[in-house]
Amino acid sequence: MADQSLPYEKVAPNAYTWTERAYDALVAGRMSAGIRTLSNVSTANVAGPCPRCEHPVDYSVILDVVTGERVGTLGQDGVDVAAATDEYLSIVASCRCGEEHEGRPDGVAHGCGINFTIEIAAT
Amino acid sequence: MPGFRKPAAPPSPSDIADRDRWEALTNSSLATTQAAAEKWRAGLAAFVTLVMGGLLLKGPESANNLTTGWRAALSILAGVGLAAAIVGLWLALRAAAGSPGRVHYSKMLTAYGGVRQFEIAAAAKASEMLRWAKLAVGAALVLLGSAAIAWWWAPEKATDPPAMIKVATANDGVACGELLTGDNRQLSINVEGESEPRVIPFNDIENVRIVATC
Repeated sequence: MADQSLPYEKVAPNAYTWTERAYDALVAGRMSAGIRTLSNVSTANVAGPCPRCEHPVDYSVILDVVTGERVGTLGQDGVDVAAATDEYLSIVASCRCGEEHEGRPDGVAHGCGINFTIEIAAT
Repeated sequence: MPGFRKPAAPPSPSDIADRDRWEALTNSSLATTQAAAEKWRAGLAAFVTLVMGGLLLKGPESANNLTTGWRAALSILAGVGLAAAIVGLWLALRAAAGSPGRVHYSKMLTAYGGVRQFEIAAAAKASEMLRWAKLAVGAALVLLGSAAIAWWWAPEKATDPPAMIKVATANDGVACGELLTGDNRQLSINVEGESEPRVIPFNDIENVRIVATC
């Protein structure tokens, strides 16, 4: 049940509890996570209830970027993604729910303040 | 292999900082790529100008002095090089300036999954074009540079040396100049300072010598 009364988390925003709860939600099927590739651009997505406030969270991180230097330019073109990530991709997600949480800092528009890690199969 | 694994540790502040920096990179991909492409375009154009300068150093009209074989070879080198330079600079310009066009939101979503993904795909396309531009201009520089260097060393078309002769005539006269003709039992000599060739009948000639200069 989503808890509207929870204040913005400032004491332990990265506590392991949030990571554990997110994992439990993934195993229970209440939270989903996956990687989707469209037009050669891969995006990892985490969706489900926030491990703390239970508000719906839809968090995505794009896994491909174009920068001023290619990895190959730096001599690392042969790096195998699966091997580099131990076959699991570690995603640092944050609660970015749209509900109000008391004490949310100025300039922060979303979330209840927590961060958690999920690890999903890279292939 | 299961789809998920329980992380051994929570995210550290440096993990979160890295994640934020990565997100900043995703947001700036297209602008970064186009800015880099613009610098590359200017640099590649400067290289082409530099090498073209080598071709123009001798002056285009001096190409007329080359033999047909050398002219053909140099024309091919310079022509293909110029074409490669045009293609390369066009691609670099395309990468830097983009190609404005109408995009339908739902089609974009279907094809890319989101606006940021669309921007990254556009940046990747620009990056790919820039890569081809660099290859094309690199080839152009090799071709144009080869043409310029080959031109410097190309042998010029052999020209007939002037046949200078000094003719002594019976009346103690001497005429020196370039032999034009020796037909109809008379010599025609182009004497410096005279507007018309001087004609000397064979009968008047006592002596003819070939000289290097008059």
